[in-house]
Amino acid sequence: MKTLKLLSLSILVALAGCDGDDGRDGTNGADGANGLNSLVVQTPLAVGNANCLNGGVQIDSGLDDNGNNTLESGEVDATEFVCSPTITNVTGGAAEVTSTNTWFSQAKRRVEIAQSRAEAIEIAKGQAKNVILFVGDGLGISTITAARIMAGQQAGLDGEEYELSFDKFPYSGFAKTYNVDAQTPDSAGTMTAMMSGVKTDVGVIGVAEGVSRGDCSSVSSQELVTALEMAEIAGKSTGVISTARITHATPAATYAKSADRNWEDVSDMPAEAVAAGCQDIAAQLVNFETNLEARFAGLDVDGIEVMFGGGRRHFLPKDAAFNTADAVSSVEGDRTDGRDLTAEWQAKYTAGQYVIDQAGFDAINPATTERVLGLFNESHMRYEANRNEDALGEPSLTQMTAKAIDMLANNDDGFFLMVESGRIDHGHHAGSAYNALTDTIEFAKAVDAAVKATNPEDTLIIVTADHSHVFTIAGYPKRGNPILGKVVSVGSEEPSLAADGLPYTTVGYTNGRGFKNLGNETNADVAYGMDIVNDRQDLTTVSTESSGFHQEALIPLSSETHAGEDVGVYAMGPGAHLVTGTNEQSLIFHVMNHAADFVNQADSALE
Amino acid sequence: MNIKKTVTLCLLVASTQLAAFAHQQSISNASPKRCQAEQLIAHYEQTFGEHHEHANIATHNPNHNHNQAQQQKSTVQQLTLLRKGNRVAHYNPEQKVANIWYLNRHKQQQLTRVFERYQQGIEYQADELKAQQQWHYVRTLVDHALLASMSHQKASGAGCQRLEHYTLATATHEFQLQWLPALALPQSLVVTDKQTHQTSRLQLVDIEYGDKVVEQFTVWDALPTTDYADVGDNENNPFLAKMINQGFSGSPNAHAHHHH
Repeated sequence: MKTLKLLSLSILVALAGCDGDDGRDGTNGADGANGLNSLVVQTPLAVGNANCLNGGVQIDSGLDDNGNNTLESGEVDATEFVCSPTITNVTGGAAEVTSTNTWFSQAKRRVEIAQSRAEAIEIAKGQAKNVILFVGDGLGISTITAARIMAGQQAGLDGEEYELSFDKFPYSGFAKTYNVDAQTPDSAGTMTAMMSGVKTDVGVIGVAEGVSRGDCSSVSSQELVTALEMAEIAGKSTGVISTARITHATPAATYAKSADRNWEDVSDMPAEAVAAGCQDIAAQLVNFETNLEARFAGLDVDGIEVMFGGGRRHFLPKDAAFNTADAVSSVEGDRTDGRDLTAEWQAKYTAGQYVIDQAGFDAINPATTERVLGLFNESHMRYEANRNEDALGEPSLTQMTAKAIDMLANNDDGFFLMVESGRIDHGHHAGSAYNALTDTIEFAKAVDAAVKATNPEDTLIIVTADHSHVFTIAGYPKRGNPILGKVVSVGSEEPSLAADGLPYTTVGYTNGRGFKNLGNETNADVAYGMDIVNDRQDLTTVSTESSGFHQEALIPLSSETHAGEDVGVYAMGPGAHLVTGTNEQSLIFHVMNHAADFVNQADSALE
Repeated sequence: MNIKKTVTLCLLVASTQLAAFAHQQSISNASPKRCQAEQLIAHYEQTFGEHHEHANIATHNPNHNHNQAQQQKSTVQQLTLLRKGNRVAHYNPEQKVANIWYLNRHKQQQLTRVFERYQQGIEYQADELKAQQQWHYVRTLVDHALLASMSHQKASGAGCQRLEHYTLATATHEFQLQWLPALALPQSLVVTDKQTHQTSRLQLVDIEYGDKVVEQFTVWDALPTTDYADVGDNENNPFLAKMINQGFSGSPNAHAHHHH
């Protein structure tokens, strides 16, 4: 504690003489005793002091009896307190510096907005006419953060402060992603949980955990009802979009029931499963209306209106005669039962449009088109980064989302739409942060398009992921350091060196194929034809920000893996306030159900 | 020498990094009897790490261990090339692995790798960027740039029997090519590393024509395939889980206990 010592001065006063003659000086008197110094000590008091609750100063005074120039407790003759006034507002001095700080004011404004939102929450069920579920496959938190920085840096900012479209959503929480039988999940089990409200096993589609993977006979009585099916029953329009194959696990979990996610067409199924009557996933998509009506007596629905994605191979016979002009393989189709499901769909829906390329997509008039089946690639659609290399052209996720909403909005009863960015997952599996992040940025643009195309008062939009990846943002790079660059520390212009004397990148993978330096290559999958590399590389002269750079990985695996931590859930619109805290992934269905009252509406339709 | 890596290099890129001395050998039954260049099966023998006898003369080099060089054994592998129009396969009989390429109308080149021991295939993303250059190597086993840079020395025979001799000497390697222009295939390609005197040799052994090509492609086409992009999502499939954890090893030993 600091003390302040003040020394007083002794003053001798000489008396003045009379007006008469001065007499002789008398004898000097004896010296008087030495005087005493008076000392004052000021002691600051902290807030909460018993004498000064708001803090202040304690002033002790007294004579320095022992002459040691220190006011000791026994020498204190008087104590006074000067207390600070009670703080009634944040103004002035240091407080003003805080309150005028940008970070402070931005966060304060966020709280005010949140408060006003909380007061305006509509808690009644069924307030959402429309529900859109966005799923970034493999879109873990670290991927969102890195994509946000990349998008910001592409916009000329430092990047960290940037906000992706769904960063601006008012409500968010976490979803625990594990499958019933797996600590680290896959898309099939997680998407089933989101779509049906029931967590299930890894690798199975639209069926509960009582199923045995790969056993057709175990599907019976385990079939779940999804949000898309309930929306269909309730008379809403429905749509499914994916940049992966439309028969891939995530989109399939909206409409199919399958004991194995890989039963995408009949050639993928064991003969006994086919004989037992199980349908492949592609056939279930084309027969969705018929199959749903068969499950509920008296039901009459009109089927899915919008289907955009890849995966043509699962709809065409294994016969080169059925190849499209966009075929990549010598024989495009995989089906061994001779069925052309695209033709079957067109025969069933004569007013529908079947399209396979950008021109066909562009020709769709959303105001007049009743339904559409768009299969834009033989297998998965392209990464956003190399989409322009497709021979016949593919629409972007944003374009597909916008057109789907325009079509689905024609139904006054509303719609349900699921949009998956399926290749974020593939970029990570291939060990390419560039492809994963550029697809994430496109995903965020698609979300933004949905926000702009809908009314927040009647449309619930949820953005989430099925699972994460072993993708990390590490080291201590300075603010604004290129997210794909090497770590450059605060105050430095040169890359930091690791214990081995080599520079290292900010983003990296715990496992996978590891380092590749493919220059301006924009297709991550090219790395699959190359050797796995897991030893440290000298990146001194390597452009790690180039599209063809694949990050180093610690554990050598042929394909980088999913991760098991929670994923984010972001929501806006009616019912969005229910997305909060840490929950099982199955909660997402129940939030959608609360918002749109799917179960009750479907029950009413079935009565 | 890492044999596995060398094989991969030879199969997927070009042989320009390998070392060999010229090997003048004429195999009569390998000569083309008909010009069916678009539908054939060509059997090759590849020799890696071979030391030419002249190499051992270089004893003035203090770093050269004469005894070690003599003891170093060469590795011989078989390579079968199947060609049917715009489909070409390179098959390794020991590993029972086939790389099957297809060049589509848009000049995109797709690779499917078939693992016969597992009765499964892996499809790789179509690659259109380097297709034109790569396709020449895939189809002919000789890199286009290498062939274009070689000097024509002499020719013998005519028509389908025509055999052209090419050579090239760079600062580090010597190349000797016996080329069958009617088939667009090498009868032999020998590459010698000037420093190590090691050679790599590609030698045509036999050529077959007829329906066997179609039959073989049909067998491979019947096998189930998986996109490599999907491998990471299939940890429950034993074959694909093995792919995830260990990748593909071309070594026969790696698969010795996993015959299906």
